[in-house]
Amino acid sequence: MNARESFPRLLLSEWTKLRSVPRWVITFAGAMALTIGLSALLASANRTDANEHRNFVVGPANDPVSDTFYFVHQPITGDTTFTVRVASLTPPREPNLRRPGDDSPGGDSMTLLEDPSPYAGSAAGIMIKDGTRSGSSYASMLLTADRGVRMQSDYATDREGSASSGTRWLRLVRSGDTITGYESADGTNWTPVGSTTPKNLPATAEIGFYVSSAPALYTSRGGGSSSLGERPTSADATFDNVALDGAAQWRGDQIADQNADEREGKGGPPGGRYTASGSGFVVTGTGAIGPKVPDDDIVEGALIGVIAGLMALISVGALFATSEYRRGMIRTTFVATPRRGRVLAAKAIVLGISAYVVSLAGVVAALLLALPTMKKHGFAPPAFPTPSLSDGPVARALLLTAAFMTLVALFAMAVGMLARRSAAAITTTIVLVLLPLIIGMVLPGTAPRWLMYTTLAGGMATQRAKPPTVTLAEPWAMIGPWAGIAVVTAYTCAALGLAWLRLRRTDA
Amino acid sequence: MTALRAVRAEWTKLRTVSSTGWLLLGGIVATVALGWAITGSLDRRECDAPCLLDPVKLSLAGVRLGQVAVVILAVLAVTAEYATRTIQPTLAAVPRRSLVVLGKLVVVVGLTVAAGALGVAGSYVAAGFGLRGTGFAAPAWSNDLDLRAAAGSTIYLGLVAALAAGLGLLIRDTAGSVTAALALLYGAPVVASFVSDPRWEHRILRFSPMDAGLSIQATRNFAAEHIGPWAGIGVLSAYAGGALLLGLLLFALRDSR
Repeated sequence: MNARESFPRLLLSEWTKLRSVPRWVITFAGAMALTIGLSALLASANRTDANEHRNFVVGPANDPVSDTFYFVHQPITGDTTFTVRVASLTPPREPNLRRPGDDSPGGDSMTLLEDPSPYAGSAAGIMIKDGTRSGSSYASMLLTADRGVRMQSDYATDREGSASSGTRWLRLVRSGDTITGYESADGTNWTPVGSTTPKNLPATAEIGFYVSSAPALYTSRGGGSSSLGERPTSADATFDNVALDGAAQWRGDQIADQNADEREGKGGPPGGRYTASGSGFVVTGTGAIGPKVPDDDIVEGALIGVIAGLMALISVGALFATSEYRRGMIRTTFVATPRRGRVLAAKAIVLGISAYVVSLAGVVAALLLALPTMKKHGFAPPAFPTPSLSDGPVARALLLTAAFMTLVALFAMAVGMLARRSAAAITTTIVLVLLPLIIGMVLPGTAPRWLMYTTLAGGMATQRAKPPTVTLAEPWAMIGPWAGIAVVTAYTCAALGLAWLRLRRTDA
Repeated sequence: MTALRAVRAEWTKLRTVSSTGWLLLGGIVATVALGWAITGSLDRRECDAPCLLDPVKLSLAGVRLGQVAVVILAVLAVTAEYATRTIQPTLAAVPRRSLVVLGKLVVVVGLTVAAGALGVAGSYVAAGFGLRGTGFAAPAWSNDLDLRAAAGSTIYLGLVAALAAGLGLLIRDTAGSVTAALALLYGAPVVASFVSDPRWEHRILRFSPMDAGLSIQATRNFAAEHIGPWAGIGVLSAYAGGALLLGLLLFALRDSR
């Protein structure tokens, strides 16, 4: 028998072992039933009032967005070129918020959250926009306080320009429906940053310069509870060398969601202002322009059952290895196939494929079953656009979650090969997945993030379709899905490698 | 005196298995080490005012890890007899099945409570070192609440042993019983943190065996607890009692394989 035909045969024999033990087949079915059942059962335990108490406006793509800033503008029809020099941008000072790592005693001890989003922070820029309604389509070139020059449009497209700060020339050129952004250090040599087509820009659009300054997020977290707050900030900028073909009178407006302020019962929108000084303008602005997506995640909420299905898969994975030792069958296996590495590979492939099929079917069915219930409990558009299986992030979450479950089952199998005892293998795996989550919820600050980077619990991050945020207290929301799956893959590969070494070196 | 003989027989069985000592030692070390690591990582200055952090509760966080050893010990005390078929001679020697269960329970819970008391006391001593220089006060034996947290944690471990033994009687398989016990203990808080409706989160944490049982560890910020200290112990007792009763019933009715 040569090697090429023996490996498929080995796969077949391992597959026969797996499918002919009724208890394992039942456990596989149980894993799927638990994933789907618990998810469907607890779908009604999710609730949100994001649509009732809106802190967003609806953007051009029907997404929740924030659109608050001070805009000095005038209408312009057709193709045009608009140039401005941002002479200076003064970011807000927040004396009462503590920066991370600042140990000075006293004062108000809220810790500032550094939001890495390109839409956070303060910016001075130029914009062409569909009227002055909050949430309308736009394209802008902006100089930020600490994120360089950027070109953004429609709350979703962000292109990075140079890493300049302080003073910069900015230019927007409209040609038909296409807007192209340029930047320059001296007003003579221009570098294009990008081109974009806003979704619905009318022939006569508002063009002008603006200042925005996103609210400062601060947190106090620890002892199992966390609280989060926002404080409005404002920034000042000086614009000069304003050049627009056919320019008329400039007009200043605070762009804001009027309805929000009526609902909140505040006396009008937060104020910005502008003053003409010599050949330039000094503008004070407050508010943020960018996506305003609620932290809650439909996909994550719909996949509660994964944790239960995972327990069942862990026990199958461990038993698939340890039962060979319990009855001494491993010796028969090795008599049939003396090359032990191949046996391990065949076992891993058979278990991996079976677990992946079961997991993927489980998570897809769980999501589809939980969706209607969650929609009834507030997870509805516009705050929560209905997820579809073909959305990139949703598909990624489902595929990676199934991969996470599979890798954990393989890890349990490898530990089973190493420990040769099912109780030890199952316990090690469950503790590595669940305990960091439980400890992470009790630990203060960003300490849980390190637990997520170093244990199997990090794989829970695969369940989020939305990007990680700085504002969530759940430990697994602190790292991204790819980081999470990388941690689990590393664990599983290491365990399989050790199992292979042990199989080669030790007697069965 | 048959009851005493049954207890002595179980004690001999458990004492002469090498895994018992290792499990108990491992459980104690894990409990103390985790508590020490967590208390050592605290910093009073990172806790924003009003600081509600409970250093005593955190110094006992190792119980959440150490209970794993208790679960395995208690499950093995029951299921190993089925795996090795010694259940038949056991029943031949002590035909009254409730006496067999009683014997196992006394030995397992007794050992657990003894080891648990050592682990909890060790955690307090380790927290004394860990909390040095962090700005938090170390647990004190003279404080009634700290004493209650320590005693409650020991009782908690004893009840977890009873719950795991009950599940072992029900399931009769090591892998299945360990999975079920750990999923029951660890699964609920993870599920609760997934749920976005606070009322549901409250419901789940109130009636989950680990979170309800360990609410007795709180020495401050009681508003954050989902159930009172002794009511929480009651919830865990109900789980343990339910599993034991059901297990005993099945044990009495089923043939031993």
